[in-house]
Amino acid sequence: MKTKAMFDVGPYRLAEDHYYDTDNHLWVAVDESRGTARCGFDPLGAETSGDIVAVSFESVGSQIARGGAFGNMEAAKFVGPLIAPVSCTLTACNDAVISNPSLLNQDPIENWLVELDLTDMEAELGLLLHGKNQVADWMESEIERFRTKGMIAE
Amino acid sequence: MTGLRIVDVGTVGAMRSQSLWHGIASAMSPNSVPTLSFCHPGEAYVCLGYHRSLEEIDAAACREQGLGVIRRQIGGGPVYIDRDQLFFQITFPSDQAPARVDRLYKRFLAPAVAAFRQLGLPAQLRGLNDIAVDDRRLSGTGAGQIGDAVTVVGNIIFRFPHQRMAELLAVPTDRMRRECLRLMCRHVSSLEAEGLSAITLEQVKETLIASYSERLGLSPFRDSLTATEEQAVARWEGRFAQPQWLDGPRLAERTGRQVKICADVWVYASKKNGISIEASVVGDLLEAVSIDATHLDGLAGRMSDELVGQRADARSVSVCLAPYGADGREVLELLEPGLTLH
Repeated sequence: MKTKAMFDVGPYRLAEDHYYDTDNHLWVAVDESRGTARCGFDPLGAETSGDIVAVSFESVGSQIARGGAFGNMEAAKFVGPLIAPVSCTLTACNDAVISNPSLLNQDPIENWLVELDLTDMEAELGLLLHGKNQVADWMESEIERFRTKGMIAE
Repeated sequence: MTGLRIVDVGTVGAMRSQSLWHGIASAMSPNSVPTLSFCHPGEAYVCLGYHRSLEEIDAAACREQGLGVIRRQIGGGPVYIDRDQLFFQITFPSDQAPARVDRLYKRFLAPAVAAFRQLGLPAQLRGLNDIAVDDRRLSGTGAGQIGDAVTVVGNIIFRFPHQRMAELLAVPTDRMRRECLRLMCRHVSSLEAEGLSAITLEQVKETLIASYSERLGLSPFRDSLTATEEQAVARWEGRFAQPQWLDGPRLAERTGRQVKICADVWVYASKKNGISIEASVVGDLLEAVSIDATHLDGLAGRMSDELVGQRADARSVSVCLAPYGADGREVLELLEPGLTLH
C-alpha cells in the first residue's frame, strides 16, 4: 500500500489520499484494489502522545464499532485506548510497531497500526476528513489550537 | 469553585484496591464531578502494568509467599503492594484533563508533591512522574484513560520491604537480584525512611485532600460509590479474574532483562554468544558493569572496569570499547539495548 502523495502543514507531513479522524488524530488509508484499509496516527496524534513505548491490539478478527477501542498505547506509564475511526474487522496488526513502538513517533504516516476490513465504507469514510485543502485547513487550526494549549512547541 | 468528590473506601482487599479506581473512571461521564479516591490495600499482592510481561515476576516466589498478581490498566512495571501503602487516585472527565501526558502528570501530581511538602519532606516531581526527595522515590505513579475519564494514580509508601520486592522479580542471576536490591534500597524510599514514621493514614489523606482541593480550585465533599460505579467496579473485578486478562496483550520480544528502579535508574542484563553482561544505569552514567566471558581471556574484567563511569549512550560506550576491536563491538551490541529505558 503506497502513499500516493504527501504535503506539509507546518512541520507535519501528511498523506494526501488518507482520511483523517479529527477527534482522535488517526488516519485511514483505503486500498481499493484489495478492499482493505490501514489505520495509523497522524503526526499531531503521535507527537502529543509523547514517546510511545508500547502498543497492543485486539485480536485479528475482532469486530470493532466506530468509537470503540481497537487497542491501547502506552507512553510515560499512561495507557490510553486507540479509538476506531470507522467500524471494522481487524485483519492484521503491524508487528513492526509492536516490536518497535518508537517508529510511531518517528514516522506516523508510514508506520501503520492495524489493517481493517471496513464494515460500512461508504457511510463512515464520509465522516472523516479527506482532500488536501480540507485537511490542510483543519490541520492548521489544530496546530494553532494545540500551540495555544501548550500541547506542542511554538 | 465547583466540587471535588472525595471517595474513601478504607481498607479493602487486593482486587478492590485496583478495581475501585478502574470502576470510578469507567462510570465517569463528561459531566461528572472530578473524584479524588483513596483505598488502603489490606493484603499484600503484586501489581503489573498493562503492557508488561508476567514473566517479569517470579511466579514461584509469589506462590510461596501467597501473593496474588493483578494486572492494571495503566503502565509501569511490577510493584509489590501491602498494608504499608495508601493508594490515591484523581479522576477527571477526559475533556477536562490535559491531553498531553507530561502536562497531565504535572497538573495532577503537583498537589501530591505539595502534600508531601506539607508533611515536611522536600519532595519534587522527578522525571515525568516520580515523586521523590532528591533521588529517592517516595511515590510510584501512573495514568490512563478509561472510558470518558482520565485517572492519575499514586501510592504513599509508609515503609517498604526492599528485600521482599527484590525476591519477587524474575531476573536471570542472583547477582542481578542483589544489584536491584542495592539500588532499590538507595532509590526507593518511604515516609518512615524519611523520618516520618509516626504519621498516620488519616493525616496523609487529609493533607492530600486539602492540597488537591486548593490547587485544583475545587471544593471537597465526601461521597460514596454510586450504584453505577459499584457495578463498574464489579465488572473490573470480573475482568481482573480472567486468565486472559492476567496474561495480558501480545507484546514484543525484549532483548535482555531490564528492571527499572525509579525515574532514571535501572539494571540491565543480557547474554549472547558466551558473553553475559549486567549493567546499572544511574542518571546518565553506567554505575556498575559486569561482563563475563571466558573466551575473552581476562579482557572482560578490563572492559567492565573501563565502562564504569561512562555515559550510558551508545556513542560513549562505543568509544570506550573501540580499543578492544571485535570483542568490544560484541559487548557493545549486547549492552546497547539496555542503554535506553524501555
